[in-house]
Amino acid sequence: MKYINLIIGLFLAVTMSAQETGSVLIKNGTVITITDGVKENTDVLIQNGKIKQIGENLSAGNGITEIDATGQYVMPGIVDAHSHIGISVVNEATNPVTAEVFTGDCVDPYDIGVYRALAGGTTVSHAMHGSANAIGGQCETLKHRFGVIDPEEMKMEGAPRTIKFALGENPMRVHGERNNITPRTRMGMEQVFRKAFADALVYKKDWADYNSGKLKELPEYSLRMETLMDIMDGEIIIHCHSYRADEILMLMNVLEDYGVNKICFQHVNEGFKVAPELAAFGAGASVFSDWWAYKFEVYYSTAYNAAILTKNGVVTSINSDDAGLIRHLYHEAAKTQKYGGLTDNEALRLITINPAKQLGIENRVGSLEVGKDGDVAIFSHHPLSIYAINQKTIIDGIVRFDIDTQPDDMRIDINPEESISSFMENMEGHEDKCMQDVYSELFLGEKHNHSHHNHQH
Amino acid sequence: MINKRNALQGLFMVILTLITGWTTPLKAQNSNEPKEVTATYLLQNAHIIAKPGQSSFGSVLVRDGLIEQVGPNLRAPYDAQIIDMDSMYIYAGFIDALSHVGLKKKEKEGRPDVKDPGNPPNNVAGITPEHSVYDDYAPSEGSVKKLREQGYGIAHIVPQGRMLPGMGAIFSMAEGDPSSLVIKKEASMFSQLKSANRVAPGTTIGVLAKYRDIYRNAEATGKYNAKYNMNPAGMRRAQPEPAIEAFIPVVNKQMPVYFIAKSALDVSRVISLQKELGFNLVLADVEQGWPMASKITAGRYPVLLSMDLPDPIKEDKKEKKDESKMTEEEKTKAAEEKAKEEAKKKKEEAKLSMLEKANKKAKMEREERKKKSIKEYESQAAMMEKKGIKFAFTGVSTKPGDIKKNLKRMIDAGLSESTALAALTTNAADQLGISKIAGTIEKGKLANLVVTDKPYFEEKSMIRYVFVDGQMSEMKKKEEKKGKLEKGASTALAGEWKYSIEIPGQTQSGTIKITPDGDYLLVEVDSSDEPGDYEEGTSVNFKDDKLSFEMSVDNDGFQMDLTWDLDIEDNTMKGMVKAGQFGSFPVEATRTPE
Repeated sequence: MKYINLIIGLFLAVTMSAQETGSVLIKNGTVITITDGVKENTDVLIQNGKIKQIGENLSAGNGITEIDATGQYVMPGIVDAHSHIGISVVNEATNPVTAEVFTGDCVDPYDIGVYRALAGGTTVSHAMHGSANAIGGQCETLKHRFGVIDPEEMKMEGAPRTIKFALGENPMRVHGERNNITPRTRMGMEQVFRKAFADALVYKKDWADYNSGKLKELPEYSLRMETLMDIMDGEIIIHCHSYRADEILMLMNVLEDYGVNKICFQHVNEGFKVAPELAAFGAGASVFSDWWAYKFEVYYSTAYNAAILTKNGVVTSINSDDAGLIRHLYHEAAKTQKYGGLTDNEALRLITINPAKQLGIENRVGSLEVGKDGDVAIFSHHPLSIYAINQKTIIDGIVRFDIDTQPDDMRIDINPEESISSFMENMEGHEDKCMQDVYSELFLGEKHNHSHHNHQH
Repeated sequence: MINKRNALQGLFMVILTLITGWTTPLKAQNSNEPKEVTATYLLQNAHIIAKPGQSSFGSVLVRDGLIEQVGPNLRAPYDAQIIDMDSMYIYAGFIDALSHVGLKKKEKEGRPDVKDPGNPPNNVAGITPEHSVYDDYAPSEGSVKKLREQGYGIAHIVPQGRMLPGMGAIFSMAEGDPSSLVIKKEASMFSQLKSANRVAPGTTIGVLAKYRDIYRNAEATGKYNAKYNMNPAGMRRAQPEPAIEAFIPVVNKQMPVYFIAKSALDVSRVISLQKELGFNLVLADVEQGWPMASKITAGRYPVLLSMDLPDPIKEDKKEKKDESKMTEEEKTKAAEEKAKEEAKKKKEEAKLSMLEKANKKAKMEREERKKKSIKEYESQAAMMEKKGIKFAFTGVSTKPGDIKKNLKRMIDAGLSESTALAALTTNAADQLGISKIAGTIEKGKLANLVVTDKPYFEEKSMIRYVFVDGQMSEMKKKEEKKGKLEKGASTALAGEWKYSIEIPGQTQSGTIKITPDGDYLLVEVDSSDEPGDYEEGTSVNFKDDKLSFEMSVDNDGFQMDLTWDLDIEDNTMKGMVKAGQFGSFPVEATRTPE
């Protein structure tokens, strides 16, 4: 049985040093570099995890595996700027401001969703806190090194810090409707942000005064306030769940007042209405291709959103926010060619270099360039073709997904007390589980394993 | 994998409520018992396993709670009660490195009534590091007796609760007043990644963030206090915050943190937190630690392994006769039957659709992986032993009745008996800092002893005596415990019986499970309040279609003896249950068809 070797292999991986890298030579593919055109019959050499060379007739050094990509398409690993896979907790939904919590504390490298994302060519995802709170938790940027045992090894080392903000119905419902505390309205939303930043400034002054001897009493340490200070110091990129144009403008005004400018709006369904303003602010936009009308504030939408934002100079990406969609982000990108007529390169940028920019990791991933990480997806057809099937996904020069050689059951952590039923039996009762998850994620925060049908947008 | 409470306590409660005017609590049974005649015992002619891997034949002299002498030919002092061990085995009393024994069951919490769930009071949030388990420990709780009967003389007890329930203490499992039993007060800080109920911290990420907050505040307060103590001039007194103050010894590394970390991910999370903050960490109740073995080794973290294991997959119980003992005729018959079965199987398989076949295959493969997974859990201790990771055992989430059974499964999976014993004795003593007084059978140490009729790790071994602080408890012999089985009794009795007891105004129901065990009968009873939490019957007697047995149930330290007398007719049993001095009540049971 193949997986026995796999487990042994995984076990060895753990005993090795962190961030294992590999070397591989991808031969004779159509190389979509994203930043330097498309090169036919070209080789990509990855050495010790980094792209060493892109060119024709490269030869591998000793012991370097060759992959024949003749007739296939070699593109940079897909980057998803909004996802919740690979973590076991999504929402700390107990307070409108929870800047102190961090999804990176609960990385789950055994989540099979990570492997499935790899199967769709996605190599990096932004494991975000949920949208229950106005200022939610800090998020982790994951590299899909599926197979590692240690959660720390799933984290993308050196990626900038990010934090989740949320506007509109979700925080209003969770805190306003449920607990009758601010925010209950969109007006209240604004005040939550303003109060949080104002409190952090007072906190900063208190500690400065204490350290200089002016304040005699020991101030309380607060990780929440420390984090808000770091946002104002420009150390953390905000990723804000948003739909309506008025709220998007509101938050940009608030941030301007507190001197914050690193922000990417998420979902941003009405982004097309304020595209010039977003561009002027330097804000990014991470959108769905064609998904809306799942709640009242998300009706005024268009599939042309990504194209309009792109044409207005907004750094735009298409995200999944979903363990199912993350498996075919290349299809999502292709939709912008029907709705908005984006070029191949414009469309592919939406799932590669642009989300990388929004996460502050564009110097590492998002394009095939010498010196960048050896993160590659190899497709059978052009990735924007409906016939495209991902063949191999490589991260840091290591093949982490291989359609030909890997067994069906790639789970790493087997529940020794799982109840096993046949597939058809599993399908029944699925809906109940979904509701359970949605409920618990919205109101309790713990995320369960069956995450591929949860839409916590 | 949940630590359940005493079976039948629901029944007991019902009966208790029948007694009108019962306002003063019952005295714990133990205080009614006569005082022992002597506190000196000479245990003669025994295999003495003084410490793991060291065995000799001889005697142990116990006096006034201590081991006075160990040697081959000890003379009995005039005041000694001589107990001839008749080649039984004496081990040092076991030590539970982390336990909730002797704590009253927490009442089920409803949804807390908190106006602002983001800022709940500390007790609702589960943050009470200032609390000491010393205030909770009740030696009369039935759980103490149960643990003692498994051979335990000492337990490190930690309070129940959520992320920071409070400080642990080390107690002797002897009978007496808590103040006379405590070995070390405020021995540890107990921590869990357990979130609060619908208030902050509501998730694991909330707990971890809150932990950092508490730690940093304790750090700052500690420094402030130190400065103030040096020279208070010009400084304001720090405002007392009990939770923060209690945490200062943790920051100063004067108090170890026993952190529950069952799964591999939790082990990793707790280690990451420790690396960030720097407290003295003991990984506790580890069930799935092997994937993080290299991290554990690198950080040299002390480890307490759980004695809980996933349920084994039930094997087909079809009796298979040993082929070598079969006659030729029997062999042919067996072969014929086998061929028939296989043909039938093939026929059935041919009928399956492609999808059904694929499902069947997938299911089988999943089952295979599940079996392997169970094996990994069983092998954890052996694997740690091989890697040179020193560990002790904790029973904090293990039912006392499962301890020996699960240790056997670990040993079958490769754990050496001496390491298993060390994890129950010397390693636990080292970890708790009590190896000068406990963990081995040596002159001057506490007279905590376990006496078994066969070597402890043998499957059929029974604990016959347990000494704690020199107090002797004698266990009943197997023959006394279980009814000798008559021929045909197996079919007459074996199986599960649903019973109901008629108590005026109430009906108490549950299951009686009867299993023939060799020449004896094992009778177990549970209650519908705690299904599956079986209490074992003693003094089982079965004769002339009459079954009788006894059992003792307890609730918060109140003991009550139940005596069952039943007449059996095919698949029904009828009779009476005598409940202590409260009277007898009619009982009926019917056998559940297989």
